[in-house]
Amino acid sequence: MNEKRDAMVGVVIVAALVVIVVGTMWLEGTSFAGETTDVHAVFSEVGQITAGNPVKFRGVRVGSVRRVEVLPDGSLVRVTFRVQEDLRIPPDAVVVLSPESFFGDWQAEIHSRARFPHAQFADAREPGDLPGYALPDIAQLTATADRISDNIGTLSDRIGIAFSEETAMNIASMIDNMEEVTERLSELVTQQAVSFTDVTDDVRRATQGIGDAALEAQVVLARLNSVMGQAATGEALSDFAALAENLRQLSEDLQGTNTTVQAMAMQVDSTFAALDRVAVQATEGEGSLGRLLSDPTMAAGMEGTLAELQVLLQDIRENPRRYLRLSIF
Amino acid sequence: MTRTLLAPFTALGRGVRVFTLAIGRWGGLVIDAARALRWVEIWAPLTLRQMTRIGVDSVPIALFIAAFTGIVLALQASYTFTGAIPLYFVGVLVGKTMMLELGPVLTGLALSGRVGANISAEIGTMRVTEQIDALETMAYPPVAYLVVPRVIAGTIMFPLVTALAIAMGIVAGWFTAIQLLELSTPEFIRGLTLFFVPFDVAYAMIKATSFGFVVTTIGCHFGFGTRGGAEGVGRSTTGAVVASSMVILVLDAFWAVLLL
Amino acid sequence: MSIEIDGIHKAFESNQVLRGFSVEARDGETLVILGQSGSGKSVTIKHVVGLLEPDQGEVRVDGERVAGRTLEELFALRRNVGYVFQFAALFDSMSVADNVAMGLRRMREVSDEEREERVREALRVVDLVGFEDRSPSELSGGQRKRAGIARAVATRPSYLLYDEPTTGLDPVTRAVVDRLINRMKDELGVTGIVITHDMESAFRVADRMAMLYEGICRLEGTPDDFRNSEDPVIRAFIEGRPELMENSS
Repeated sequence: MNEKRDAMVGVVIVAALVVIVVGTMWLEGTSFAGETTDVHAVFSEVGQITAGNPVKFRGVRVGSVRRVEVLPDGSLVRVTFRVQEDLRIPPDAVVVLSPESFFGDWQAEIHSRARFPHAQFADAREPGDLPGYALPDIAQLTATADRISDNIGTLSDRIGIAFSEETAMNIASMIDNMEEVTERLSELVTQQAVSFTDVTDDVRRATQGIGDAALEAQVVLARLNSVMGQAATGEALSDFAALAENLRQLSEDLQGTNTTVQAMAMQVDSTFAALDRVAVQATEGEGSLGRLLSDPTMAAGMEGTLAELQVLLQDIRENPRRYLRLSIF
Repeated sequence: MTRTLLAPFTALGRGVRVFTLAIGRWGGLVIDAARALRWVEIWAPLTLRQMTRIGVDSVPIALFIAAFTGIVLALQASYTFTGAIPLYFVGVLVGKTMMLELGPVLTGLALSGRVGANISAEIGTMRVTEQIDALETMAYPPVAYLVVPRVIAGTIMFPLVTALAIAMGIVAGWFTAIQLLELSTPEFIRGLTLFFVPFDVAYAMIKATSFGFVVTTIGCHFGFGTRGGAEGVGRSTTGAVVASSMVILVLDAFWAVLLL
Repeated sequence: MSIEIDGIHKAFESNQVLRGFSVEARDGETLVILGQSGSGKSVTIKHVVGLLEPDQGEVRVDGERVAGRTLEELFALRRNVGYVFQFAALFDSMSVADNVAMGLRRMREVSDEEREERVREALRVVDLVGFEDRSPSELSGGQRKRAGIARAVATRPSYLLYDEPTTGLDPVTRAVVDRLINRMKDELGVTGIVITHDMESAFRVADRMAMLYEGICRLEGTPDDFRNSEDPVIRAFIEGRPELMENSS
C-alpha cells in the first residue's frame, strides 16, 4: 500500500515536471530533432523581434531567435539565432528583421546582401557576426508621414506668399494637389484603426489617389520648368538636367529595393527641408518670381520630392502589410 | 431608536473586527507552521501521505475540468474569430487562457472544494472529538503533525496538478480544433507558439503555488477553529471552501496586477 | 509526588468557570473530582497537562509549576501524565495498536522492539489482546474507552487523568472500566484524577473526593465524608435530587 502510494506520488511529480520542462521548451521553439548551431547578427535597432520568433531562409523556417541583447557599449543590438546546423548560409549573408504578419509578430530572414544594395546594415564588430537591418514599422512610418505633411503645409503657405503672377496659378494648383496628398496620407494613418481588410483596400485606393496627384504635380512642375527655361541661362538648365537624371536614378534604385523605406523617408524629409529653405530665401529675399525660377535647386528639389514620394507610394501599394500593424492584442 | 440607527454601523464594525481577527488567527497559524518546521521527525513521514491525498487524488478532477475547458475555449474562440481573425488564433487563445488564467484558477477552485473541505472537515472533526488535545498530551505539536504536512503537500502538489491540467486543456483544445474546426495541427501549434513566452509557465506555477498554500492554510485554519460538534464541522467546512475560493480570486487579481 | 491545584481561576470570555479551585492528588491515590456538567471539571484537568493556562493561581506537578514551561519541558511533563479522554479521542485513521504506540514513537529512548512489547502489554492490561489491527470505528464504546486507557498508560506515566471515564457506558461496562482504573492504581502504582458525575462509579474508585461547585471546591474528603455530609449541594448531587439544592438557596 505504502509502496503504491509512493509510486503514484512519484509518477505525478515526474509527469508534471516533464510537462512543464518539455512543454516550455517546445513552445519556446526549441527543436528536439537534429543538431542546431547559433548564428549572431548585429543591428542598430531590432523593431519588435523577441526570443522565440522564427528565422527564415528563402521563406522556410530554419530556426528561432534565442536571445536579444544590447552590446555593453550600447551602440548595437546583438541577436542570437538558433538554426539547423546543416544550413548553408551564403557568404555575403545579412539578416533582415521584418513583420511576419499583421499582428505584430516579427521574423528574421537570412538573405544575400546583394538583394539589398541600399539598406544601411549595421557593421559586424566581431568576426562571425552577420550585418543586420530592421525594416521600419508602421509607427515610424506614420511619424515620418506626419513630418512630411507638416513640411508640405509650411511650404505651401510660403510659396503661396511668394507667387503672385499668372504662372503661380499652376504652382498653386500643384500645391493644392500636394495638400490633397497630405490629407490622403493622414487619412491613411487614421484608417489603421479600422479592420484590416478595409484598411488594405483603403490603402490601395489612397495610394492610387496619391499617385495620381503626384503625377499631376509632376506635369505642373514640367510646365514650371519650361517657364524657367525662358528666363534662365543655358548653364542652369544643364545643371538641372543632370540633377534630374541623378534623382531619377535614385528613385529607380529605391523602387528596386523597397526595403530602405526609412532611409527614403528621411531623404524625402530632407528634400522638403531644402525646398523650405529655398522658399524662405524667395520670400525673404527680393521676392521676385524671375529670381526664384532662375534658381535651379528649387525646381530640382520639387521634382525630386515628387519622385521619391512616388517610390514610397509604389512600395506602400506593393507591400501594404509592411506599413500596417493592427493593435488587436 | 438610536440603536436602530446605529445598527448598520454596529454590523459593519463587528464585521471588520471579526474579519481582522480571522486574518490575524490565520497569520498566527502560518507563523506557527513555520516554527513547527523544526519538528522534521513529526511532519516529514506524514507529508507523502498528504501529497497523495491532496495531489495525486486530485489529478482526475483537475484533468476532467481542464479537458472540458479546453474544448469550450477552442469552440468559443473559433466562434468569435470567424471572418475577422485567422483561425490559428484559436491556438493563441487556448494556450494563453489555459496557462495564464483558467488552468491555475479552475484547478485552484476545484481543489479548494476538494482539498480545502477535506482538510477542514478532518481537522474540525479531530478538534471536536478532542483528538487534537490527545495529540498534545502525547507530545505531538498539532501544527507540526496536522498543518505542516498538508501545507507542504498542497504547496508542492498544486502547481504540479495545475501543470498537468494546463497540458490537458491544451491537448483537448487541439483535439477539438482539428476534429471540429477546420484547423490543422501545424496551424494550431503556430497559434500556440506565436506569443508564447516562458514567463507564462512561471506565472501559472507562481499562481498555483500560492493557491496551494492558501487553500491548505485556510482549510487548517477553519479546521482548528471548529467549535461545537457535527454542526460546527459543517460550518467550518463551508467557511473554508467559501473563504479559500474568494482568496483564490483575490490572489488571482493580485498576481495579475503585480506580475503582468 | 503529587499534583497540586492551587487556587486557579479561569474564564472564557465573560464566562468565569473557575474561581480559585484548589485540590491535591497525593501519591498513589485516586482522587475523584465531582461536579455537574459544565462546572469546569474538564477545564481543571486540562490545566494539569498545560492544555490550558490559568488566569490566576497555579498547578504544580511534582512540586513544579506547569505554566511557564517551554514546549520541550511541557512534552516531558505530558509523557509522565496520561490523559484518558471522554470519548477516548482515538485517531480514526490508525489501527488500535498504532494509536497505543503514538506516544511511544515520540520517545527516542524506546526502541522498536520495546515499543511493540509495551503496546502488547498495555493492550493486555486493558484486555484488548487481539484487537491490535482493528480500526477505532470497529470498536464498541467500552472497548474504545479501554483502548484510550491503554494509549494513556503505554508511556508508563506516574499520573493518569480520566475525563468522565464511564459516561455513556452501560452498567456492566462501567464496572469493567472502574475495575480497570483500580487495576492501574494497584498494578502500575499510578496516581489518578478521575472527573465524573457518576456517583456509583465515584464511590467505587475514589480514595478521596472533591466537589467542584461554582468554581470553587465545595468539599474535599474521603468517600465517607461525602456520604455523611449534610451540605444540601452535596446531598442533592449524591442522591440526584435537585430540589434539595433549590431549597437551600
